[in-house]
Amino acid sequence: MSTPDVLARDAYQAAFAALQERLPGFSDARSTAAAALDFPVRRSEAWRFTQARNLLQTTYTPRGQALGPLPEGVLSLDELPASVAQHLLSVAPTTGFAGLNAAFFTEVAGLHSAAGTSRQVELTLTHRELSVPRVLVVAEAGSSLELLVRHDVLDGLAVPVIEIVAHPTSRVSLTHVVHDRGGHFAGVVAGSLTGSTVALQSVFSRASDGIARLDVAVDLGEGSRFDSSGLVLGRGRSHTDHHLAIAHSGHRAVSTQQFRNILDERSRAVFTGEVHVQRGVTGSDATQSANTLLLSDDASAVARPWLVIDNDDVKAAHGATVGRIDPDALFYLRARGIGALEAQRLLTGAFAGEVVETVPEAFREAVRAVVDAYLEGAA
Amino acid sequence: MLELVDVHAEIDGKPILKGLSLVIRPGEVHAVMGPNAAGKSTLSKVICGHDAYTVTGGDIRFEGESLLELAPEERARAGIFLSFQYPVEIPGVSTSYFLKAAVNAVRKSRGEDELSAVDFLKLARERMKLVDMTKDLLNRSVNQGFSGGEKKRNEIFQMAMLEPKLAILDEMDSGLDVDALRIIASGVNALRSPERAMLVITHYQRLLDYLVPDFTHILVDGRIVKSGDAELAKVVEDRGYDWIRAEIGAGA
Repeated sequence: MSTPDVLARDAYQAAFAALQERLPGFSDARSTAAAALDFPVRRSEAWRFTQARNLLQTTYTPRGQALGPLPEGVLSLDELPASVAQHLLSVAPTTGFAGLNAAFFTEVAGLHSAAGTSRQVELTLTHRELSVPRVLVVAEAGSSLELLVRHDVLDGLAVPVIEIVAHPTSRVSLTHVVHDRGGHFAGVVAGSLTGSTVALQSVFSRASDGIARLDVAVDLGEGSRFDSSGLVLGRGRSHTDHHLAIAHSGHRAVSTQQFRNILDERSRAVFTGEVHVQRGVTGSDATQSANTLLLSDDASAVARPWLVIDNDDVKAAHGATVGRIDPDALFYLRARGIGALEAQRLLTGAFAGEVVETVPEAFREAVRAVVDAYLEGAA
Repeated sequence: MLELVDVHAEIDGKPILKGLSLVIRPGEVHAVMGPNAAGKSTLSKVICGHDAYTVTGGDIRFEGESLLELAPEERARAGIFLSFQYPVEIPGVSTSYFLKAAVNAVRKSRGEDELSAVDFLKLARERMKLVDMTKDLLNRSVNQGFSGGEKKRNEIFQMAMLEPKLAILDEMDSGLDVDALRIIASGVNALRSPERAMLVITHYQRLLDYLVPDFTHILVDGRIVKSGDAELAKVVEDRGYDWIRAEIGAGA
């Protein structure tokens, strides 16, 4: 009997065979990814707490219209110079759900930051059916980019992939905001850092009961720094999974992870922060915290710090907490005349605040508005 | 202004207040003293509506209306203020944001216009002087990292901002040295007025040297067993609580 992953693989491979001729470029890489399609339904530690099979119940039709018109200075696949395009499919994995993207992608938003330049860019991606856009960031030495990517998930299965190639002394900050009104999300952010500084702020504001997962895979070369933070705003029966795999492959690399979940109703969140310090690599510094605020008795969270360290010269710290609104703080605010609901919002907003503060100033108001909408119960 | 009539209250099924009666009129300062576990903190929490405590008998009336069905915020808006024995730290909420929300919630319920940011700051700067507070505290998270003295000053500052009709000061002196106590007591004295009543709950008489009450009550085992003027506090200071216990025992 065929299992859901085999059925899905067969269906997507058939779709690929039919479409193959019309997909733009990268034919070898696409064929390889399609042939190797394999979904993490069984025996996958990385997907242990998230039901990958739920993403496979329907075979969606690839639909290449997530991006819309690109903002000025953002290049389409046709416009990418070869020196930039060569990095496509080179940083992010092409297996698991990302394999769907590697096989079927047609849309690319390319951001090439020339040496010494500085800019801010906002992208909005609207996802329906099988949505597989790619974003490629190539940051040259001394450049600085602040990028806001908003995902609006309407239905289907969204598998966007963001690849970041950050050359020495460049700085990239990615503010990644997912708002779902239906469907499922299985996105990837992958980075290759060589003596550069990259920051990621991942925000999920959940309005549907689907699964949302972000896989973050980052390789830290010598002297690199990766600061990640995340905020899950959960409600309904939504399930949200942050999965980070951070490889310290060069000396003196620093990684920080600061993740917070606010979970209402029957929502659930999973956080896995895998840090791998490779053999012979010295002077690593890795810190991690995962804190959850439960607003309902039926919400739940799983947090897994996951440090794999192959040597002694490492500074590592991690902590995880799960708690509720502090009744003493609530009483204190109410005893000053602040209504119960407003007091709860104030305390919940403060819990989110620490992550909001990590967002670059240019996008902070936008993220704060997402949090406020959640606190006010708006979808 | 405040009437407690034969109040019985319990926490986790354990009776704490066992028939407490007390009347406070506008302008009066009442001190309630008592040994540990007499029910002093319960008294303040019950008046303010803390939901861990259940009133099982009697009534609490404020300006003639029963408070028992009112939420803590409704009691605060009616004009009751509690200075906490242990002010709560609230990371991530700035003192100014919190206090502006509180002041405007109270003003709104009185039918007054909300204060603008500018007017709020102006008022805050003026009222901070009462307790020698510096304005950088406004930008810090509520009570977070405050010293014991700063926390207590912040309580009195909040009282000055909220202008309550009745202020309950729960163990205001705990954890303070004499200098801090003097500053805070002078702030409180400046807030005394013919319209405002105060209920000062304390274990030690020391505070009452600085904040002289009109009436003193002794609370033992959930009941007020003796009332008098400021002199009564001094007797307690000299002789402790045992003689009162003995007196009650003899009378029973």
